Amino acid sequence: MLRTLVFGTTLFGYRVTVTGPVAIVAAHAVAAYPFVSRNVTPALGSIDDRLVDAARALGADRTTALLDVELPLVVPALIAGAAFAFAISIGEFDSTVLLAEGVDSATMPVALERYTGNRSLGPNLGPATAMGTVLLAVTTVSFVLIDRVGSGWNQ
Amino acid sequence: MNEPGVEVEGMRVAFDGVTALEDVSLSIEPGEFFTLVGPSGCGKTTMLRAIAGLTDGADGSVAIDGRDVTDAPPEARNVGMVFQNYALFPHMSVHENVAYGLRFHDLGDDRSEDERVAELLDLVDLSGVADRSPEQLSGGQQQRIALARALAPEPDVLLLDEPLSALDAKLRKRLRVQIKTIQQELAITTIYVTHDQAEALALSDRVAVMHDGHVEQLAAPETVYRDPASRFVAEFVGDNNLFEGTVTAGGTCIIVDGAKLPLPADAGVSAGESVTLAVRPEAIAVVDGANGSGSVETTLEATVETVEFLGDAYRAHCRWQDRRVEVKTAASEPPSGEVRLRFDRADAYVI
Repeated sequence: MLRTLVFGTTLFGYRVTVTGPVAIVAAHAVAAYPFVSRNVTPALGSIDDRLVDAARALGADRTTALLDVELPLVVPALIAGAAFAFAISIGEFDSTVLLAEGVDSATMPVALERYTGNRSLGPNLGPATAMGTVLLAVTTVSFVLIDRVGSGWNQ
Repeated sequence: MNEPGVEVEGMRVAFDGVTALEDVSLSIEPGEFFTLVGPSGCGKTTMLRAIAGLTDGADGSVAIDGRDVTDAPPEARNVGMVFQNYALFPHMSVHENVAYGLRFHDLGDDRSEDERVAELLDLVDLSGVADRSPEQLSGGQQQRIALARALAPEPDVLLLDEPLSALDAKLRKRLRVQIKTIQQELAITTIYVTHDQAEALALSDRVAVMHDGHVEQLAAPETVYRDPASRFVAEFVGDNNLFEGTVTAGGTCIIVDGAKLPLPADAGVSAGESVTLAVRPEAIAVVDGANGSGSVETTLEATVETVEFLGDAYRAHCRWQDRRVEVKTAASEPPSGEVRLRFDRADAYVI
């Protein structure tokens, strides 16, 4: 079960396995995606269509209007979405610990787990505590950021 | 150079199977102040957006200054557009808003962007606000900035979509004079959309009264007011008293609820025909019961029900034979009780 569903799948007799950094990035993107789209979609939807109409009547083509008008107006939502994604990514443990199996590079929670659960050398609490503190600080800062800039333009 | 400023032919627009415009054609003179007026849902804004190229699925041709722009996207039509809600870019300063269109247009002279922006802010009497953000300005100021922004790239036609509807009455009147002054100064072909018939009459060289996706009447404001082409126009433009009746044998009167009302001399109706006679409230005089003339044909014996004081006149809502008749009189005292209402047959018209 674990062999086929979690660590890869068998296609046409070949075993396809995705692990390591690429798989970790993909897993984090999937986890963070809803939080980003929940932030940015309403912001895009609340932009008055006539702002784009106005830009186009003034000579901007659709792409230019997107870059000049719509994107600047959703920047706060984009920043909030990015901060969410960052906070989720940095704290994500479950899927990362599985996908980072046998890989040297790993995210902080996984490294932390390795320090505290090292069976051969015994728990190494010093680096683990330091990393835990850094994680806490980074997550706090990103949520402060969400709170400050996430409110968007008051229209 | 006798090309029309804007020529629209056979414009049809339907949204989800509902017809918004049915085969409308318009020809607007260069430099003309042209108004589309009608109730909400009559297709006037759809028409304006179709000219700007902002309506999807518009079926019909549009030419601006003789240049066919039917298939051109909005940015290639060189139109200036002003919206009801101003639609200023909130993340840009006033200066950046006005200058926005300039980056896409080469005006073919050596005026710098700053000079052009200053020129336009001066035109709309808002020289000192270039560095402010739009939300720091009042509604009227924002709309003047929107006008300056629309005019900056020297468009071939100015399209105004209910620009004054979001403003209060006093400001609305002041700003409409300013719009008219600027329009005359620049001699720019202008299409103005409004639901306010008084605004349409006050501003326009010609008015198109629209109803249910078609043009009911297209004429000078005076003609639309004095000689409405249909019952809809008579009711929509200004106030009117309408009397439905049958033309008498002589063809000079109509019978309304058993009473005879005189028709204008050139009515062109035949005996027995069912017609509607329209009389403006200001064309009806209130005559005191005692000294009114006895002519049965021209006088309605009515009872005053409600009187409104308008400042320069009184508007009296009277009852004559189960009908309401509205009268506007400049008398110094409000009319009351039993009165006689009289109008000259020449001031009435048949629809």
